[in-house]
Order: sequence, then structure tokens, then C-alpha cells
Amino acid sequence: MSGHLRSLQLRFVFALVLTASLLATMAGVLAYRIGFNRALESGRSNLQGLLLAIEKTAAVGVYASDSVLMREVVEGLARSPLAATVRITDLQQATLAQAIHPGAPAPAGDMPAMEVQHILHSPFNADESLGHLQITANNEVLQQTARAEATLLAKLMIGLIAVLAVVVHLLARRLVSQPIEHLAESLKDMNPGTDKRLPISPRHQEDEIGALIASTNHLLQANQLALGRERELRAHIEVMEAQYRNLFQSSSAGMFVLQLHPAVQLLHANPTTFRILGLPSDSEKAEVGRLFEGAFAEPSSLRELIRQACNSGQTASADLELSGLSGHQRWVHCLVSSHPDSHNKLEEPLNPTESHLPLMVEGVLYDVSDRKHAEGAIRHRAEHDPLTGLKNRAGADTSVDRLLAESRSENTPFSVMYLDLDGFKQVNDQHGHKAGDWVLAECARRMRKAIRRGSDLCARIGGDEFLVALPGTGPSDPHASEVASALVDSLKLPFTLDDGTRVSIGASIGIASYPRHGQNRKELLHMADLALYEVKRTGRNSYAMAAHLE
Amino acid sequence: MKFIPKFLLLLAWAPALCLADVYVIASIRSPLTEVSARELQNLYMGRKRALGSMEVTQPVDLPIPAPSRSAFYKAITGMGPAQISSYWARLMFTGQTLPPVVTASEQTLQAHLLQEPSAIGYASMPPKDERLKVLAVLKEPGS
Repeated sequence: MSGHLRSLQLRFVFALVLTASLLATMAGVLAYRIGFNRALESGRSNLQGLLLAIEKTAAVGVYASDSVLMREVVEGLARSPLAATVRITDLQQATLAQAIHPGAPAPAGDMPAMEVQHILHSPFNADESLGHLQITANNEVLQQTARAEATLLAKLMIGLIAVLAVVVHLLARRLVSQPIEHLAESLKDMNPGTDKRLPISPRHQEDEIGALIASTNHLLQANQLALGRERELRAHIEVMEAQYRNLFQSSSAGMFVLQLHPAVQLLHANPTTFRILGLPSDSEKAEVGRLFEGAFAEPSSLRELIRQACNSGQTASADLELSGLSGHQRWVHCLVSSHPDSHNKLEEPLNPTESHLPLMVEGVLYDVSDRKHAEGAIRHRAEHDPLTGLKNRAGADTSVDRLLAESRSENTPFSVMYLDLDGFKQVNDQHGHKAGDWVLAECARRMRKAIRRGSDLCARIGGDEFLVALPGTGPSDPHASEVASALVDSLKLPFTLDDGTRVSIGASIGIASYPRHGQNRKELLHMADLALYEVKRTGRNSYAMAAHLE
Repeated sequence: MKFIPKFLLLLAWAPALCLADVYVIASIRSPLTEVSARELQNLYMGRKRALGSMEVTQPVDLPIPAPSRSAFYKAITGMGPAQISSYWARLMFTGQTLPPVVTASEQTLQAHLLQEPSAIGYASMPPKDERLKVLAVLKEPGS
């Protein structure tokens, strides 16, 4: 619709004018036609009336063949301005009398002249026809009259419709357009959430405009309420959001959301995550995903953790070691749970081609390096002798049990040695505890050299008592005797103290082997102890195998 | 035969009450032997000037008060005396056509017929004079 017809009022006027014009045209044409026909009909009936009035006389004239009477009749009729020609004919159409209206035009060709005729009957016998009395109408006069009447009627109709259109327009403007314009004008000044309302004038109290204003006010009311609620809610949400953001941003825990498909991407992560993992905070997302995995010493254990979380649908947690760039070990405790959006099971985690949904996991990271280190230190202290750095009795027991269990399951032999230092007490007594401690530490160093590194175990289980475990070594294995003689030989060598004094001690060793001498630690150690006792009794600085159990 | 005239008298009275037959008469010298109501109408109402083979036939009428005149015109035109007078008034206005000659009474009419063989007339009774003949007996329609 073009611009100048946007207004309802204008559109209405346009439609009204169009309709009224159409109606007026139709009504005008119709009225003209009807008027014209009616005028013609009226002319015809006038002529008929004339004929009827004079018919009897004409009939008498024809009956009596009275030409004077017939002429009187036709001339009398011809005086009417409507008549052009008046004729009396007999049954054979021969003219008996004829008169022409003075000044009447010759019949025009464009329209056949109207003709009215009556059959003349005998005055005495209604069924006897004598001839015809006919009037040819003066077409010009007749049509002129008809046109005048038709035009008048058409003008009246058009005028009536025009007046009606104007009245309808004014009424519509006054009753509908203006109130609506006024309403729109008032509404334009309203702001969302306003507490103002539109007034209803008494004139519109009961009508549709009133209903419209009432509904609008209702809407304004609802709008105000909704907007108020919205504002409160938004403020509330903003506060909450700020709190959560603060929590997220400044949390000591690293929080992250990891997308696994189609590529590993770190979707969200708080600054703590970046700090803990040592990631550059300005990296690209995809790049961060790769770096994120790379930050762990064993990315496979991270994947395993994610797989657990996705398959179980529960939170999985583990301590994971980071690939420490700075040299010292760092650990994180990592909790991973599959994101609620990730429904399907993760068969092959981090394999984008097999999964079609974007799988996501969320996780929390705690830096547990300090705890890990503390734990390690405690465990070390609990199982090691601080003086020599060798395992203590508790550590030795644990280790022997473990090695014994391995041998049992692998069906391999296993040997333990009880080693007791000879003459250490004298050194301790003569040169003091400090020198004694140094000698013990030196003994430990020498023992470490004598045993095979890695698999063999050396522990200090008492003041001058030591235990050596040789996994995979049977009683007839040369390695057992080799180690034993190496130990005896190396501990026999003199020790040079800080003050240059040289001291010598010795060592006695008892050996027992699994499964030959015992099935458990207690039995083995008892057998080894018996063998050691035997060595001590028969002469020191030597070793002996436990007697065969019968 | 006293009874018959009395009976005829009664018959004569009856038409006086409810219009009797009308006898159309002419001189026995007239060439006419019979005449129809239509021919009488044409002659008496001025349409025709003669009947049959005659050149001119003169219709003779009775004065308006005569009951047989009313009966005669009723028989040949179906009209009453006033309508007949109106008819003639229109024609006499032009002077072209004249109504039939009027005689004073049935006696003078019959006397005229005896003198004029081309004349024709009517009577309420069959003529007693043998020189006159009855050309038609007009029954009053509806009686």
C-alpha cells in the first residue's frame, strides 16, 4: 500500500468514495434507465388514455362511415403534443381518416416511433371489428420528456448517495477515527512500565472504544507488573552472577569445561586452571586444548579418567602428575564428571570421528603438589632409616612380603640374608656414637655397592643388624654366595675415621631361601637367623646357608 | 271462441310487462320477404342505406315512449333508449347521418308503410291489414 493510504481514515474515505461513486454510478444508470422507461411507459399510457376516451366515438364514426365524425376524432387526438400522427383504418388497413400534429417531425430512423392502437368494435356487437384507431407518438417530445425525468431521478439518486457518503464519513471520523487517533496519541507518550493510565471519557464508557481503552489499560498494568518483576529478577540474577563469577574467577580450585568432540577444546576455564597447569592465558582455544593435554605427565591417565567419568556417569577422580617444566614434580587432584549434555557413552575418548555429539566434561583441579610431597616424605620416613638411607624394619617387612608374594606367584626362588656386624659395639664404645654412626653409614654405602642395584634390597633392621633380599635367587644360585662374600669382604676392610683413626669390624651372614627354607617371611627370617647364629658360633666374618628343612 | 281473444289479451299483456315480441313489417309490395336482426341493425343505426336488392330502404321509427321501440332496439342492438339517443347525438352532430324517420304511432307507421313500399317498420302486434306482411318476429333476448 502506498504511503498516502497508510492512515485508516484515509483508507476508509478512499473506500467510501470508491464505493459511493460506484453505487452512485450504478444507481444513476439504473435510475436513468428506469426513469426513461417509466416516462416512455407513462407516455404510452397517456396515449392509451386518449385512445380510450375517444374510442367509442371513433367506433360510431366508423360504424356509420361518418367521415366528418372520424376527422373530428383524429384531429382532436392530433392536438396532443405527444401525438405525431393519428389514423383510423378499416380492417383492410385502408386509411379512413388521418391527422398530423402541426410541426411534428418526420419519424426518425434511429428509433422506431412508439405506436399505440386500438381495435374499433361495432358499438352494438363487441365481437365485430370495424377497423383500427392508431396514434404514432411524437418520438422527440416523448424522449425529451423521458430524458428529463430520467436525468432528474438519476441526479436525485447520486445526490442522495453523495450526502449519505459524507454523513457516513463524518460519523466514522467522529465516532471511530478520532477516538482511536486520540488513543494512539496518548499511548505514544507512555513509557514501558509506566504507572500512568488512559482516561475513558464518559462518551465511550460503554462502547467499543471504551473497551479498547480498558484493555489497553489492563495491558499497561500487566506490563508495569511484569517489567517490575523483570527488573527485580535481573538485579537478583546480576548479583548472583557476580557472586558466581567471583567464585569461578578467584577459586583456589581450577575449573574447566572440556569439549571432546569434534576436537579437544577447552571451552571454559578459570584463571586458576591456567595458573595450575602453567598454560599461557592468551592462547587460542584449540591450541589450549592440545596444551591442556600436554600439561599432564601422562595424558593417557587423564583420558582414562575421562573415560571412567563418561562410562559411569559419575564423578571420577585421581591424582595426576603434571609434566613439570621447572624440574620438580607437581601433582593435581582432578575430578572429572561427564557433562549432562553428553548422554552417550564414551567408547573411545578423544577420538572425534566415532562420536557425533559434542561430548563435554567438566572438571575441577586442585594443586596437591605440597600434599603429595608431604605424603612422600612421611612414607619415606616411615619406611627408611634416616641415618643410612636404607629401609628400616617396617620398610623391610613390607618389601620382603611384596617380593615373597611376587616369587610365589611367579614360582621363582627368593633369598633373604641376615647380616650382623662383628665388633661394632667396641667402635661405638671407643670412638663415640658419632663415629659409630659414620661407620654405619659407610657400611650401608658398601653394602649398596655389593648388592645388585635395582632388584636387590638392603635394609637396616636393628642397631648393627641388616637384611638383604635377593629376588629370583635360589640357595644354589652363585649370585647368593657372590653377594654374601662381597658383603663380607667389603665390610672387613678397615674404616678411616675423621681423626684418621683406622678401625675394623666384620660381618656374619645367615641365608635362607624360599621355598626351600620357609613359606613366609617369619619362617625365612627365623631360618636365616639360625644360620647366622651358627656362623657366629663357629667363627665370624663368614656366611652360611640355612640347614635344609626336613 | 271467446276464450282465445282473452288468452291472446293475456299474452299481449305479458310482453307489456316483460317486453313482448316485435313484428317487423312492410308493405306486401316490398321486395323483401324476410330480414335478420343484423340487417335491421345496419339499417336502423345508419350503417347501410338499403336491404336486400333494394336501392334504398327507408326505416321508420316509433316515438321514444313506445314500449315496442325499446323492445325493437334492444332486440337489434342490445342497447337501451338512452344509449341509442347518445349514439345518434354523436352522429347528428356532424349532420352526415340521420336517424330513421319517426311516426307518431303504430297506426300512422302502418299507414306510411302502405303508401311507401320501400319503407320498413315494426309493430307490437301482427298487422291486421292484409296489405302488410311480417318480415321477422324479433324475440326479446332473455325473455
